[in-house]
Amino acid sequence: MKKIKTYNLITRKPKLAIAWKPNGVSLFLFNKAENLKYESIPLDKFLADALVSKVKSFLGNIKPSETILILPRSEVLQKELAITPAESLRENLEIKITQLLPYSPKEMAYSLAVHSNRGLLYAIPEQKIKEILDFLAKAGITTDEVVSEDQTLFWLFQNKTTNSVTLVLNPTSERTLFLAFKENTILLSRVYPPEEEFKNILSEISFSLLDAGVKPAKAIIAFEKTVPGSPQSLSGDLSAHRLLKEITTTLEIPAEIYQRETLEGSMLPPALLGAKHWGKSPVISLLPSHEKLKKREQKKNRLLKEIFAAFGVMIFCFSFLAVSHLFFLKHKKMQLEKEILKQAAAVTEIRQITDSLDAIHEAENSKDRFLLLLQELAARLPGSVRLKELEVEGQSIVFQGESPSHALLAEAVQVLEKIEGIQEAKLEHARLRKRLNQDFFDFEVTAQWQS
Amino acid sequence: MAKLDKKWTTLVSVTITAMLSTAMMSLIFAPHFKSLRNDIQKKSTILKEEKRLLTRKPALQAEWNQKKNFFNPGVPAEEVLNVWVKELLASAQSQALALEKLEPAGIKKDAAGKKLTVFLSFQGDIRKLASFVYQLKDKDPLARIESLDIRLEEGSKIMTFELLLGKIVK
Repeated sequence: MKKIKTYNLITRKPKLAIAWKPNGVSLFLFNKAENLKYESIPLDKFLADALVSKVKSFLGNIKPSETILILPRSEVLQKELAITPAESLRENLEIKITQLLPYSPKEMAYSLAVHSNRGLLYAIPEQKIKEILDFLAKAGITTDEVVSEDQTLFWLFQNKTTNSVTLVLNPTSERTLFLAFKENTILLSRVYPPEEEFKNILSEISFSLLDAGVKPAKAIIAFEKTVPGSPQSLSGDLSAHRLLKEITTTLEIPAEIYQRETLEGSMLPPALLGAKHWGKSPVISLLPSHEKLKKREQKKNRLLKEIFAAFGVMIFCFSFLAVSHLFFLKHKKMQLEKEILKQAAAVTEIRQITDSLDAIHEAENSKDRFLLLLQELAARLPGSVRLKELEVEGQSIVFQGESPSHALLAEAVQVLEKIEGIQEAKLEHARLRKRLNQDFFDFEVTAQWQS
Repeated sequence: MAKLDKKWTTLVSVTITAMLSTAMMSLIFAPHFKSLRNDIQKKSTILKEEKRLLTRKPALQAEWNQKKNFFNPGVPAEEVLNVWVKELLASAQSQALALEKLEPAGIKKDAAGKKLTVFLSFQGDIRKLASFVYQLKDKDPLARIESLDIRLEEGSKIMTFELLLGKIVK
C-alpha cells in the first residue's frame, strides 16, 4: 500500500473521486500533482455497514478537501435539445425542461448546459441521489459535486483534441460508453449494454452522428480493464486490434488507444482519472437543487472566510514586518546613542579646546578687520572727504563724514562698499550744509561686518 | 466564464485586502517610524560631526598646547583683570599715549568663560590708534575690540578714540 504523505498548509489537501456503480464503488484519492490511492469495492460482497467501514478505512485519517461523485451514464437521463432565441428566456426554458423530464422538476436533480443554439440536459431522480449522498454521509464523506461519467471522460480528453470533433469509446464489462465532443462541449453521449454487438453499436453511433450533423476527426478507445494474456483485449472475443479495424472501416476515421495510467499495479478507470480535471472545465451538476443552493451558500461563506483569513494573514505579516522594523530602528537609535555616549568625554574635551581657540581667533579677527578697515579708508577715501565719526559695535559700522560734493560723497560710499570684510554698505542720509565759502554734504553710511 | 469570475473575485479580494491592511498598518505604525527615523537622522548627524571633530583632535591639541597659556589658567579673573589694566597702561605709556580714561568695565560670565572688559579713551591722530591696535595684536592675542568710537570735533584736528576691549579667561 502506498504510504500517503502528511499534508500540511503548504501541500494542498487531496480530493476524492467516487465512481458509483450498481455493482460496486471505486474510490480514487488524488491531488494536482499525483495519484495517491485507488480502490474498487464490489457491493455484492458487503453489507451497507461493512461498506461504510471499508470506505472509512480507505480514507484513514485523511479528510479530502473536496469530493466528487461520478454516476454511471446509464443511470442518467440525457437529452439534447435545440434552443431557439425565444426559448432561451429562462421561463421558456423551464417549460421546455418540464416537458422533457419524466417526473416533476421538483423530484429530479438536473442541469442544462447551453451552447449557442444547443442544450444538453442531464437529469436523475432526486431520491436516488439522496440515497447515495446519505450513504456517503454515513461514511463521513460530504459530497461537493455530482456528475455523470461521460463528463469526467470529456474532461480527461478535452485537452487532447483540437477544434475538431472527437469520439471516445469506453467499453467495460458493464456497458460501452460512447461520447462525441468538440472544444468545450459534449455533443452526444450514448451508453450500450454489454451484450450489444459492437458492430451494431458502431452502426448506431454512425446514425447518431449523421443525425446530429457531426463529422468526427478521430476516435479514442479508452479501455477499462485488461484481460490477462491479451494486453490490449476488451473481452474474450473482441480484441483491441479488431475494434480499431471496425472503427476505421465503419466510421472512416483514424482511431487510437488511450494509454491508461496505473497506480500500485491497478489500472485507473479513465472516468475516475478525468475527475483530476474537475474545476478546470464547466460542470453539468446533478446535485439536488437544495444541495446546489447550499453549495452556493457554502462557496460564498468560504470566500468570505478566505478573505478574512487573507486579511488576517496580511495584518499579521504587516504587523510582524512593522514590529521588526520598529525594533530595528530602536536598536539602531540605541547603538547611535551608545556610540555618542562612548565618545562624549573626548568630544567635550575637544569642544572646550575649540571654544577657547575660537575665542582667540575671534579676538585676532576683531583687531585684523578693524586695522584693514582703517587701511582701506586711509588709502581709498577721497582726500577732501572728512571723517567725522566712526562707530563700530558688534557687527554694525556707522560712518559719518563730510563731503564737498555729491560726486565725492558717492565715491566715498563706493569705497565703503568695496572694502573687504564689509557688506550691506548703504547711505543712510546726506544733508547739505551751507558754509561761508563752500557748501558741504553731511552724510552717514551704515554697513555690517561679514560674519 | 466561471473560471474568469473566480480569478477576478480572487484578484479583487486580494487587492482590497492588501490595500486595507497597508492602510491600517500605515495609520498605526507610520508616526512611530517617522519619529524614530528623525531621531536616527539627528543622532547620525551629531555622530558624524563629532567624529569629524575627533579626527582633527591632534591638530587642535597641538594648537591648544601653544596657546593655552594665553588664558592664564588657574589665575582668578579679578587678578587677570588687574594685570591686564596694568599691561594696557604700560603699553600706552610706551607709545606716548595720553590716556583720558582707563577703567575696568566689569567681569561677565559668558558661554566661553569669564569675559573681562576694559574701557579706555585717548586723543590723537589716526596713526596713534593704529599703532595701539597693532601693539594689542602683537602682545595681547586674547584682547578683543568689542566696540570703538572715533570722533572728530567740529573745527578740531584732534580725534577722540573710545575703545571697549574684552578678554576671555577660563
